[in-house]
Amino acid sequence: MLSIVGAILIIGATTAVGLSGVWRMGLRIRSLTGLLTAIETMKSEICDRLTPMPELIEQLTQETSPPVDRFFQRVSEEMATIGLQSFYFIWKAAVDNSPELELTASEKQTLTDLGRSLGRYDTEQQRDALAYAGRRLESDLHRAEEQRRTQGRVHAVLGIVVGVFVVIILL
Amino acid sequence: MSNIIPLIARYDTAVDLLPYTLRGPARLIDELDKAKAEEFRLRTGHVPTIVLPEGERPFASGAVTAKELTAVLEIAAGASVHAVRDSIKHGYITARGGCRVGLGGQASVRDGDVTGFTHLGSAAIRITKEIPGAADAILPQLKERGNLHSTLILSPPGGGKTTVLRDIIRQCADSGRRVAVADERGELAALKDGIPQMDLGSRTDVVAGCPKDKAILMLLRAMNPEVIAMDEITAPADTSALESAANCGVTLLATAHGHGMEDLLRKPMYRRLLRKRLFTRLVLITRSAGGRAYAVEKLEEPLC
Repeated sequence: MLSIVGAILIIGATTAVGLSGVWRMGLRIRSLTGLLTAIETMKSEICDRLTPMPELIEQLTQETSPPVDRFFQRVSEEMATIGLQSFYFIWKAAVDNSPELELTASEKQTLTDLGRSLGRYDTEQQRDALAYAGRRLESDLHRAEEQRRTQGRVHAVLGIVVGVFVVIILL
Repeated sequence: MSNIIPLIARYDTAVDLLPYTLRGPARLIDELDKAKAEEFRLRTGHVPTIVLPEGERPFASGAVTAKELTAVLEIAAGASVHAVRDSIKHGYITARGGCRVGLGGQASVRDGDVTGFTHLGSAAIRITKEIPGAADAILPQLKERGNLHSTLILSPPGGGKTTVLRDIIRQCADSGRRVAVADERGELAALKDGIPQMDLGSRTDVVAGCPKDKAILMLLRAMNPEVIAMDEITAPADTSALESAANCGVTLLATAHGHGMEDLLRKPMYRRLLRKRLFTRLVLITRSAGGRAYAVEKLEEPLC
């Protein structure tokens, strides 16, 4: 009886590991989609309405969905400290401290680089920077979706198979 | 100085526009000097100075760096250069609290128009002064049978024109007249979320951040003012808008840079303004070691 319970626990654990991989893939896709939506909002707010950054970041905190909203919340919380630290530093720290976005190193770099231009230049340069970041994150999103399509099921199945394999060896 | 606390509060607001490295030294200066301080001056490679009525004096030992000037721009613009691009083109930003930050350096020009600065070389942070009663000494001379004369306030830069104008607006509005203010640079009212941070009286309507000539016409059409006030007549369009307002029977209050009547008459724009007798009183502010002196002249006679 005990060995059956043990086997169930092992298979359950490895399946959970596999499924968490699938879940993280989904989270990354949600993050990239949310960031792309935010970039579109930023484009029109910065370039057309000339919205100041503190107001814009606050707006994005309200309008974006998890997990991207948490990222903008981190930026928003530090906006009052401009002068003690630069906007770029605040933005970069928020990128570094948002593991829940599940972004790859290159995606993080794209987002960090965008922070160098935001609020610092005239609208045209910011439009260019936002468009560039948008293009990069969009191709990242396509890759992430493709990865989930091809590898998502593999992760889940692999979790179960590994569990069964371990149980067989132990038995 | 009777009550220096509000003046020190204004000083502290201006200190918050300095880069973090300079805030400590700026807070260490004598309280009386804080109340008298007019500007902070930062120039790359030189020690930062504070402008007092007696002149400029350093307030920190190290030379100002380019990075510190960039920080001033970021703080003053609220990390939103795009939102203040129009005023940067004119060489200044009006920051929170109505403090004007003047900028100097390598300007970038496109198609003949200034688009901003590629490298900053200097910044002048003006400390806004709000002195209730600043116009007490001259106000009786600006009135006749209870009515306010259209008045032009004249002084060299930094003479205190804006402070006097603000107090005239406040007293005029509190005495029951509808006053409209064209506040292009945001220094008179220092609007925040539409609410003036400076006391401009209870019956004052403000249009801020819009060219003065356009603001005057908007206010004339929309707010039915009895008095229209604007800071610094700088362009022929301003004088045309003032003419339109005068033709509607509105009392005018305005300021201009100049050392005296002769100085004004040398400039065609002001000559036209005076010839048309849009103003019937001139307030001349002069500065000396002992402080400021105010002289009121009647402009009843046709000029030139």
